[in-house]
Amino acid sequence: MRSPTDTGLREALSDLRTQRRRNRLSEWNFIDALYKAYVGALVLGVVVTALSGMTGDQRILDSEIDDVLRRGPGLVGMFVAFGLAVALRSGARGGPLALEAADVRHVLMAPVDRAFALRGPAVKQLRFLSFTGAVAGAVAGLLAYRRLPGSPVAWVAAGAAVGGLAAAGGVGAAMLAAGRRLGRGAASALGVVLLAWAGADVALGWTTSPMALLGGLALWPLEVEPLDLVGALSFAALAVAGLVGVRGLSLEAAERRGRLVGHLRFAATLQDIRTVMLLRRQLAFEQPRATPWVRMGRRHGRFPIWRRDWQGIARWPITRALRMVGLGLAAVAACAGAWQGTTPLIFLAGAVVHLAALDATEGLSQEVDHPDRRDAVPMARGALHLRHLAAPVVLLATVGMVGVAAVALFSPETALRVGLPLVVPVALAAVASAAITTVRQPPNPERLIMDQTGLMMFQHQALPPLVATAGPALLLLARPGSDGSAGEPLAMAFPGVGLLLLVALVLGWVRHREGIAEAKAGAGLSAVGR
Amino acid sequence: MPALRSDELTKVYGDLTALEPLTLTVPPGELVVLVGHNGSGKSTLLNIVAGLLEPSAGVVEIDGHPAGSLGARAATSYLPDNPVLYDDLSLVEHLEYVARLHGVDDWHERAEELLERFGLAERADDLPSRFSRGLKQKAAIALGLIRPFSLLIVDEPFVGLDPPGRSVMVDLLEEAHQEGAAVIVATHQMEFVQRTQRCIALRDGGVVYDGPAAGASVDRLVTGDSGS
Repeated sequence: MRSPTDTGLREALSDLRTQRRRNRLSEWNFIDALYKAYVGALVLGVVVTALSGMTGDQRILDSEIDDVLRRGPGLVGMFVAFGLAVALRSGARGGPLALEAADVRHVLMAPVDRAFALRGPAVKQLRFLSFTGAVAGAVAGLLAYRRLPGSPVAWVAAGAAVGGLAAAGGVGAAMLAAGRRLGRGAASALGVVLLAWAGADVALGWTTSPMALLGGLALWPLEVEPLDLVGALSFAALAVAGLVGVRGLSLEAAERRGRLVGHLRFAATLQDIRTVMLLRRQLAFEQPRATPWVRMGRRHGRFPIWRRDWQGIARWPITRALRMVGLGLAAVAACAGAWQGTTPLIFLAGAVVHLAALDATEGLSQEVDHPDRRDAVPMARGALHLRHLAAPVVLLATVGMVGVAAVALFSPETALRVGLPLVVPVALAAVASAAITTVRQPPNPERLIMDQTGLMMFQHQALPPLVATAGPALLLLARPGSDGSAGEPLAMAFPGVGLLLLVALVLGWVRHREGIAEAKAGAGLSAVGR
Repeated sequence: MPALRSDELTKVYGDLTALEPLTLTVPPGELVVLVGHNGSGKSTLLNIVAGLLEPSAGVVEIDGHPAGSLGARAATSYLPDNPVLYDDLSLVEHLEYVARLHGVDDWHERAEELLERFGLAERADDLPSRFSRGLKQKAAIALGLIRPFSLLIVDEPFVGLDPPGRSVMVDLLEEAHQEGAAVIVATHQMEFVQRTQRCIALRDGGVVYDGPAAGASVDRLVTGDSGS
């Protein structure tokens, strides 16, 4: 038997990868690549402009610089700690590498040293994510320069360095967790410890954690603190440790992850957001609980669909339930930002409630995904779909109440006069938006012909979040004026009726969609009522 | 030294026991058939032996090496029931690299022979991603046989194969056995079961029969009708 370090085996692996690269390049389309680069640059430009608008350009006063220097490292460190916690969770599930199933079967199961076999993909992943982090950091640096003194080059460089190092450290932490087979519980616990440490730094204005020290590097354009290099070195060391430690990766996890990520990329290419969410849940091991949180009684025979939806929700794992609450609180935070004057945040709130609603309408999704089973039910498809929307509305309204309670901690009057009346309209609009996405199915690539692509993409990708945004957007009508005048919650009343009509229109479309399609195809209006 | 030895091997998924503590030995050169109904644990056992899954408890050794270790990987060839191939390598490129990754430099002759026997010679330069399910299965079998091994494990080898393909498969398995390799095949094909020396039947993760394959009760074990 040959040694794992045998030059011949290493050469075979290198030749295999070279051959694959050569084969891929022979299929490479220059125009296609140019178009992707163009779209990427366009998206980046839009994001930078939008973020720039949210940040504003009011210069920080000299008297406030000390406060920035004291709290800034901790706040940046908090972001970094959050990223590390996410990375550790990913590592505990076999991430961040997403190897091809064929690589697992033919390379990792061959008698080749796994450290050598995994080095290529690991370095590639590290390089890509570090670059992405550096770009995000550079953008953040540019935005910081708009409000803080210092040279733009210094801000961009510091931001890029911190972003790149944070991403590299995150990838390293994930690889180390994957290679060391860290359990999901242990990874979560470690993440909580890191967040608590970073949180303590923020609360106390200290710079003790490596995350906060790295955050200090981001403020070097204001003040150079050599100790911050310890943070940078820690993250670089973490990245190297990850590259070394990933050799212990579990093949079981690698194969599962590779398969799911392959499907996920395909779904993302088709812009099938619902499938993306489903696969992401599978990647995160979010399986329904064997034992429901609450057992449903047996006296609901008259409402089987309502009951079925609650049975599904009652089996949600804790992570999914917490995510739903987290999305609710994120939407409330975005609404609070919009209430205080950053109007574009209302779109963020709309997007977040749309995502939450897609998660909540799983009963409907399952009917759409299993048409044979659905068509066996002696009921019109539209009527069946419509009945699946009741439970999600109640669920989202309940989550909304949690958000209102959170607002009440800071401003009880605003929570009562603005938040409370918005709960049901927001839930209705969100569920209506999710119903559009779910019932319409993703766009068929074969039907995306040039003169209709824009319209189809709008209907599939932009329309549903816009419908969801109509709910939280009501609060813009009630917010205080820029002249200092008090807000008027009653101003939401009339547009609120308009929103309810919009929701009714969407629900009517869900109920009679097929009839409408038949009528359009020439079957006459009588088809709509069926 | 046995080709395969497992001692108190267990696999548990949450509250589901996929394999109960399982102890067995397969000597070199034995042709073993593994039978049992769906969900009985056959694929789980084969995946653990191949090193793709890790046991929850117990030990598995191949030629004295722990499953999944370098020595075990060099000794074990695994033909799974789902062919896994690269999208961007031709069939002959697959054969070349799998052979070389196992230290075989003079692979051409064996590759030609396998392609010829499976009727794939004309498709050698095609991408397997464009093959039918049956052709992919044949390609995956060729990949498993182009490299040296002392333990061949095969999961449902006849699924998706046409009658000539099944016949070639049976011949190749018997050749591997005659050349001294231990061969373990999980299958529901009665005709093949009768050709083997030993039958191991699993039910709900436990061994319910381990003995000669030529027995009256084997057909019931294959279909999972009887566990006693």
